[in-house]
Order: sequence, then structure tokens, then C-alpha cells
Amino acid sequence: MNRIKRRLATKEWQLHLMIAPGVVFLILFSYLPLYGILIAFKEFLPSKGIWASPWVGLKYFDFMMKLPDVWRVTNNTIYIAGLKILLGFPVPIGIALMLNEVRRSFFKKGVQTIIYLPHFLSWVILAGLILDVFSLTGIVNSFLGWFGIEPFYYLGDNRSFPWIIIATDIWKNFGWGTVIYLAALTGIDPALYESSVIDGANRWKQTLHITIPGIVPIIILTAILSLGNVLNAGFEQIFNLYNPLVMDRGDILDTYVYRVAFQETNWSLSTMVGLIKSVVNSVLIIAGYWLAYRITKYRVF
Amino acid sequence: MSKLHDTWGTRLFGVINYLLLAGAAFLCILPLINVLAVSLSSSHAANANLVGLWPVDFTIQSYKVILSRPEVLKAFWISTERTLLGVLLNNVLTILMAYPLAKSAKQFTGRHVYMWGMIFVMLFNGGLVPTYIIVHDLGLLNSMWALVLPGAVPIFSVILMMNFLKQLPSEIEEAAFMDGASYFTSLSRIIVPLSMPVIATVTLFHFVGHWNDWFSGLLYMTDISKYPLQTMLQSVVKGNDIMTLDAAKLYADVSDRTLKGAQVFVTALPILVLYPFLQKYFTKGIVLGSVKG
Amino acid sequence: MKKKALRFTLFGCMALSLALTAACGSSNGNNTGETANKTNDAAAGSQAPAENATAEKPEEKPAEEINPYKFKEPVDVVFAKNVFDIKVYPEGEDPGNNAVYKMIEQTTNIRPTNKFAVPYENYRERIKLGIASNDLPDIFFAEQADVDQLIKNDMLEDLKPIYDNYATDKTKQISGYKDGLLFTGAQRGGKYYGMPNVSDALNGSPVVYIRKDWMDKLGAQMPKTFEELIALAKRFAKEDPDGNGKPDTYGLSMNNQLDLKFTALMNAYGAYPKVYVKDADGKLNYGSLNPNMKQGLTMLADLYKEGVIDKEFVTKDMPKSMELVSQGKVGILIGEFFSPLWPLQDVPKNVKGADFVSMPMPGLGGAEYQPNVPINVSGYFVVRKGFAHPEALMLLLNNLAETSYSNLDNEWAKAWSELNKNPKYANASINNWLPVFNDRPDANTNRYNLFTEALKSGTDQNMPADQRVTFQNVLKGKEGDAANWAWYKTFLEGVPNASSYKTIVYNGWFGSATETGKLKGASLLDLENQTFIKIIVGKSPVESFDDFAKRYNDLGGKQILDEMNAQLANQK
Repeated sequence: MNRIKRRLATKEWQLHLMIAPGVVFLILFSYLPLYGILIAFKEFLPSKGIWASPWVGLKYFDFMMKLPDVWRVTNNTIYIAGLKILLGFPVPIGIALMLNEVRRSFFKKGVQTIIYLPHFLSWVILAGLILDVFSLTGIVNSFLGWFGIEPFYYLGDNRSFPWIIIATDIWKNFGWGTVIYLAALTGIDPALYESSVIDGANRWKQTLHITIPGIVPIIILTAILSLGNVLNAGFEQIFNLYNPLVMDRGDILDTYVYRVAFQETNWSLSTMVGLIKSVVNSVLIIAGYWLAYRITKYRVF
Repeated sequence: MSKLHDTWGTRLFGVINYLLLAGAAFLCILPLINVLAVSLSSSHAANANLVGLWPVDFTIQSYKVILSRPEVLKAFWISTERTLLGVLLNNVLTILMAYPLAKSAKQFTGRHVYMWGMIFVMLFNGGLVPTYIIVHDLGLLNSMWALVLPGAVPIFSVILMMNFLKQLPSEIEEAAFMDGASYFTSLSRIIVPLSMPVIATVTLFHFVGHWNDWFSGLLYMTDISKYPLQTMLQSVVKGNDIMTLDAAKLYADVSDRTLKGAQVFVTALPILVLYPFLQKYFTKGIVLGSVKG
Repeated sequence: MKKKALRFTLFGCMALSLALTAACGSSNGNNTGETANKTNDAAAGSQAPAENATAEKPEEKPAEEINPYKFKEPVDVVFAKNVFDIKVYPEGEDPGNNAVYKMIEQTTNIRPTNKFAVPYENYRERIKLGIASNDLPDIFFAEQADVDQLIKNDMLEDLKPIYDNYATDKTKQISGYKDGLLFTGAQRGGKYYGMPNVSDALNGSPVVYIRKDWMDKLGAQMPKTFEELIALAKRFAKEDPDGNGKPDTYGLSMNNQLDLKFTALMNAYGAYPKVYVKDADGKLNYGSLNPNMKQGLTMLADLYKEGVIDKEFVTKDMPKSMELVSQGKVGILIGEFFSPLWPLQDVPKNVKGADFVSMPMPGLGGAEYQPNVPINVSGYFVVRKGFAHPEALMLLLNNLAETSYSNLDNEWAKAWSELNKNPKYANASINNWLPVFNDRPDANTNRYNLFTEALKSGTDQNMPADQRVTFQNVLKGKEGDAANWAWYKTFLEGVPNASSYKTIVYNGWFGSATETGKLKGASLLDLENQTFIKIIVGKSPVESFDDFAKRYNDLGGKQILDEMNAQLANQK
């Protein structure tokens, strides 16, 4: 073993060489543009450029905090995005596990292909369909009508609107989400199943003791990264579906800032909003990383 | 996996499983059928929202509008070229970055610096304008490189692949190292063949990312004749507000809805073709089965 | 509420372009054009070195030497080109290299190139990006918001002196329409930071379209007053005019953007929501707070309750709300003069026998109806600060004005006419190829006059060739050709109705948001939209309007108004 280690130590430069091209690209296209963050603290005058524009300190942070509805929309954002993550996260895992149990390859591939299709429909197109499906005379109300339930204006009601947003988002993306887990499932050693069969484990037990633990690292990874979406409740989706009756619960940070920016194009404000979101995301992701490490002793980064 | 152990309960579970999956697939395909039907309907029927799952007054006018233009074919070619180049670059960089990062800090000094340096720019970015200025200053505007270089490192893919690589038992490389193999040899001869499922996954992500991206075309191409397909189609499909005579006239000719529907199918087709091809890599046990076998 | 209004006027009038197909071309004309182009290329090449030396000259020249149509020496100008439709360029030509650009060079000595040539949606992005990276074309079109940004950053040339020196009377007739009203958005003190991109003055003027076949079925008369119009809407909703035995018809079309379909109704009550109206003292007031709004809202709430407007209009933006109209389920549409082209021409296709009659909005109790119409500017042509030849813009506008008023003595107008006769370009909507385009504010009213004249005299030989194809469409429509029904309705009914109003109320504020407006404008607008919608759907009583008006002012509305009035007072 030590011989290998020593031999490898002399080859370590190879690893640095491998990573170098990527690092160059990151420096060029990710690190260099970072100076743009300064715009958040400056009165950006394009004719002077970013460097020479005058500093205004936290003016745009104050501006944002003073916006009349900023807390209401932040609340809504966290509520909708939080539930999207919480409820949407397990679905692709469940579907992947279910697909894993299917033996007919034709059926399996067919289902896989079909469920990832909605991911490719834009919210502009889907919004029109969702309005129809949930309209007073739409499929949902007609269906519930068979059970004597009165038609309900789901998209014009503050209580139901966020749930429609959450449900349709999960529906649109769960199929696409399964791709990662299906790949993860391929990494499980088949020998484990074989030996468990000899031990008399049924398929439920196999799933519980072999399959799930086998994909746990990937689950942790996606869970941690999804924490970074707590302030992204889905601009495109809500922008195309919301209306004055559901502003109390359906209006989110991004749509609100869009309307504020509508009064005037404001690079400083949008950069500030982006920066705040980045900070919050970082805190959550790092907390998630740390927590996952404490519990599972597994480092995803 | 032997059938001997299939109990009554297992079989019931199997049936329910099939039913649930079929139901999910059903829910996912209905809207798509509707969009397809709309794209093949007359504009007045589509404008009136009279189309369900079957076209009304069947016509392929929208597809003609989209496909009859030589510049659309050119854009299709630009997109193809960009996607192939972009996926190749993304994949190579993903593999080259994920492999060293999957090593421990003992084996790879500075691993944590690289890793967190990458995470940092995943979380923070300088925004549109500085990136644009850099691409502009590098003289990349209007070139294929503007479409592939700024996003050359797909950070998420690197992290994903790194996590996959970490799962591989370290023994599989040891024999090679004993024989004096370099990291490069080990990566190309052992690791890459074992990582086909994850490579297939990130390939899919990269392919879809490049093929569907219309924004960087808008940002970095100042000439419509250099647009990739998605950016081009974005411009064929018109805006929503009918404010003037000219706009009303345009809207009357071809419905925005049928065009949008047609656009979905024209652009999604390559992705639909690609997916089943990649699916063969998602076969259970391929990774370790092949090592031990 | 949702999407920023897209204005397509900038790059040409479709009807006009189509009309150009009429111009018959001859191979002779074609040859002349090519020869001319070649000559011109050679000339441009030889004169290029002289350009720098003369760069500063035109401005210094005394007024009597000014040629408002042509530079003496070639001048390079970088434009931004909105590509309306790339497929119309023939083989070998593109947005940066085509017959129109050659013609411009030939007739004005302006050598046009494009900084970028992209479709309009992308054009807007590029302008914003250009502002942010301080990398702008010499002459370009900018929307109001971008104009504000550009002025704030001191990135534009003042065009007032050039306008005074160079603008011809015809240009002043177009750009100076309504005593310089159109300049307002780009005016700061005495300075003009842009030339208005003038659109048809009839855009946004309300026209009422009523289902003729339904009226006949119910034996109803054309309404003479606003009250009768509303009563007719109720009958359409309740008396099953489509005869299918189901209560599935609606009186009026409405949507959640609270656009013309809403404001035109409120205007009948003397309330002007969404705009700032000047009172007797010349002070601005916000129209949405006018107490008369209550009458309008009460009326709409009643219509909603009775099912005269769609119960689900709150979730529908304008295009979505048009579905019901296209289905032929709506009896009355408050639209614009071009509404027959979209969406109304779908109706006869979907419902056999459907037909529409149109009329101007009637007044309350038969009184005069005074609509609010947005001023006919879709944005401004601006010149980058530091560009040596800002007068190039005036030269182009002067020449365009000659074309608009069909003066064939002008070199440009003549060349333009020739180009239109060339079969290679006759069908190509070459208006859209121009880097800068303006038409008369009365372009469609003018068409209406020409058409009625021709109908009376029985010949279209007196009208300019470029109008004839439109006229032929109108004529066919008049004679009952279903395919041209919409042309006939648009030009012979829509246009005269839209232009029939004697008094028009204009928005008194054109500038960008004030300091308080930037901070609170979005929330105030939300409050306003929510209040109106909630009253209409019966979630709030109409009395809540008073509370809204008070809250609106308390939350910053009053302050915004004060800031605007102060700013206006300063400008005087």
C-alpha cells in the first residue's frame, strides 16, 4: 500500500494538470465577472463604467427593505418554494424506485421517456393549459362535480393558488428529476441483491436495505443543492399564472421585483436582490452540507 | 431476483406499481397531445381554444412557417454544431475535474481549495453585464465560442460525477497503479468505462442545456443570421400584445398558439431521439457487474 | 398588468407594405437600379478618405447652405436594426446589405451599417445591454424607459438645434404633431433628446363592435346611449342569442389587465383610470382616484354578478380573454379600429353567419363621449452622445416625410417609388428594411379618405400606387368576399369610428417614475388593480373605493403627485 502511495505522490501533478483547464475557464468566465457585484453598492452610471461609478453603500439594500410589500412577498416565496422542495423532493426518488421494480424493459423505458416530457414544455404554454384544467368548467371541477362538489375558482383564490403552483411544478419536473436517481441505481452492486435473496429478503426489504442506502449519497447531494432554491419560487410559472385576486399569497419576490423594476430599469437593485439571494442560498447550502456531514459522515462536496 | 420469492403480496405490489406508473405517464402525455393537436389546427380554432386532443381543421401551416425558412435550417445547423461542441467540452471538463476532486485531500493537495472555489462561483455570480463585457472584450461576440465557452464548466455535473466516483471502491484502481499506470491511464481505461451511467446522465443534461438555450444566443449574437435554433424560433413566435394594425395583421395570418406548439415539437425532437439512446446506460448493475465479471 | 405593451409600428405598416405589391415593375427599372448601385459603390469608395476632414462641417454651416435631404460627402452611420422578418430579404441581401441601404447611401450620402440586426424582442435587450456596457449605435430607436435611462446617464445628443435647423415643414407636420406634444417623453427643459417615432393617432381609440346577427335575432336596435349599450350587453348574456338553449353567452369582453376594455367604460363616467389628468388649474390628478369611478365599478360589479362578463376574467390576460370572443360567445367587444383583423375575423370562421357592426363609444345619457387615448408615440429615435453627425437622423426623417406625403420631386421618394416597382422588392415589405421609419400620424385616416373617394368616383387611379392593393382588399370585402371581410371592416368602419371623437383626454404625465414612484409605484399599482378587481367580482363592496382612495394617497400616491406637479412647474 505504501508503495502505491509513494508512487502516486510523484504523480500528483497529473491531477493538477487535469483540473487546470476547468480552473482557467472558471477564472475567466466566473471569477473575473464577479466585480459586477459592486454594482449593488454603486449608483451604476453606464457612461462611466462599473469602476468609476460613485459608491452609494447600502442604499439599494435600504431601498429594498423599504419597499412596501417586501416582507409579504418574501414570506410567500419561502412558503411556496419551501413546499415545492419538501413535497417535490421525494417524488422523483419514489418514481425511480418504482421504475426500479419494473421488469418489463419496454414498459420501463416507455414510462421513463413519457414522464420526462413535461419538463420541455414552457410555462407560457402550460399556463394556458392549467387555466383550462382548473377553470370553473374545466376537467377538475367537472370531475369533482360528479361527487356533488360545487365548482370552485381555484386560480382566483388565495388559499388554493399556492397549492396549484406547487402541484403543477412537481408534475412538470418529477420525471426529469428521476434521471439522476436512475443513474444512481446503476451503481449498486448486484451481488448485494443476490446475497440478500439467499438470506430470504423479500423485495420490500431489498429496497429498504440495499437500494435506498445505495443511492443515499446522491439523495443527500440533491437535497443540499435544492436548499439553494428556497428563494426561487419559480418566476416564469407564477408570472404566467397569477392575478390580482391572489396577490396576497401568490406574489413572490421575483415577480414583485420585476414589477418594481418596471418603474425604471435599475441594475443596482436587481444586482442587490441577486446578491441577497446568493448569500441566503450559501448559508442554507453550507448549513445543509454541515448537517448532512454530522449525521451521515458523508461529504458531498 | 429469482421468481421463487414472489409472494402474493409482491405480485399485488407489482400490479399497483404498474398502475401508478401508467397513471403518471398518462398525466404527463395528455398535455403534450393537446399541444401537438393545437400545432396542427387552424389558427381560428386555436385562437378560440376549441382544440382538445385532436386537431380541428387539420393544417401543417405552422410547421411550414417554421421550417420553410432557409435561415431556420441554418439555425438548426448552428444549434447542432454548438450542441455537439458544447457537450464535448462540458463532458471532457466534467470528467477531468470530477476525477481529481473525487480523490482525498491527502492524495490531491489543494483539493478543498479547488472544490470550494468552484462552489463559490456556483453560488455567486457577477451578473449579466460583466460577463457580457468579458465575452465582448475577448472578441468572442458572434462566434460559436461565445455560446460554449462561458458555460464550459458545468459545476453541478462536476459535483454529481464526483459523488459517483467517490462510490467506486478504491481497489479497482489499485491494480493499475501497482502496474505503474498514470492517473491519466487509470481515468481513461478504468474510471470512464465504469462511469458510463453518470456520463450518460450528464451528457443528457449538457445536451438539453445547449439545445434548449436561447438566451446566450440573444446575448452574444448581434446578427440574426448567426442565431441558434431556439433563439431564432423565439423570434418567429411573436409577442402577445396586439397594439397596432401591423401586429393585428400578423396575428391574423398565423396563430401564436399553433406556432408555439409547433416550436415545441420541432425543438424537442432531437432530445426525444437522444433519450432512448442514452437509456441503455441506465441498466442496473452495469458498473460493478462489469468489474467483477 | 402583465406584459409591457409591444409596439410594432416602428418598422412599418403592414398594410402599406402589402400595398406595394401593386406597384408594377419592369425589367428596365431593375437594370437602372443595379447600374445606379454600382456607380454609387464606386463613388463611395473614392470619397471615403475625404470623410474625416469634413466630419465637423455640417453643423457649422450657415442656415441657407443646409441641404435637409442629403450630405455633401459620405458619412458613416451605425444603426441598430430591428429585423422584422428575415425571410423577406432576397438571396444575397441581408439586413446590413440590401437595396434599401444602397438607396439610402445613394440619395443621402449616409453610409448605413448595423451595430446589430436582431428581432424586436431581442432588440430591446440589446439596447439595454448597450446602455449598460456603454456601447451604443450612432442612431437608434429606444423605448420610453430606455430614453429615460439614457438621458439620466447623459448618453444622448440634444436634437433641438438640429430639429430647428434641418426639419422640413413636412417633418414638422409629423414629428411636431399636436404642437410638439409627441416630444414630451424625450424633452427636458428646452432640449429634445429624441425624435418621436410617430404611430397612428388612432391607436388606442375605442371602437365598439356588436354582433349584428345577434341583434337581428333579438330584434334589438343599435344603442344610442351608453345605457342602451350596457342594456344590450345584458340582453346578449340573458336571452340566449345563439339559440343553443344554454346560458353560455356574454355581453362584454373583459380581462385582468384592466386595459382599454375597462378604461373605455370608465371614461363614459368621466373617470380616467391609469392616467394623470390636468384639472382647471393645470395641476395633475390621478384619474383612478376620481369618485366617478364608483359609478363605473358599480355598473361592472352588476354586470359580473349577472354573468354579463366572464366569471373568470380575473385569471385571463388579453389574448386569453379573446378565446371567448373567437368562439363567438361574446356580443360586444370594445376594441380598436383594427380589431376586425384580430380577433374578430376568427368569429365568422368559427360560427357560421356571425357578423359585426361597429360604432364609436356612446356617451352617458347621449352626452358627448370623451375617450382617453394614449399619445401616438411608440418611442424615440435618439443619437448617441458624441456622434459627429446627429443631423443624419433629420435627413432621414425629412426624406421619409416626403415619401409619406407622396412628393415624387424628392430624390429619395423617387428612388423609393422605383424600388417598389422592382418585382424583386415589391413583395418584400421594404419599409421594414429601413433603419428609421416614420409615417404620418393620420396615415389610416388618409387611407380612409382615399378609399371613400375612390368608391365614390369608381376608380382607384387617383390614389398613389402603394395604396391600391389595400384598397382592392377593402373593395373585395365590401362586395362580400369572406377572406377580405376584415379589411373592409377595418378601413371603412373601424377607422371612421375611431376618429369620430371630438374631444380626447390625454395623459398629462409622460416622464419616468418620480423618486417616490420608483419605491412605491409597484405596490400602489397592485393596490389599485386589486381594489378594482375585488369590487367588480363582489369580494369588496363598492364603498371600499373611498378607503382605497385614502390609502392610495397615504401610502405615497399624494407624494408622487406632488413630485410630478413640482417637476412640471419646474419645466415651465
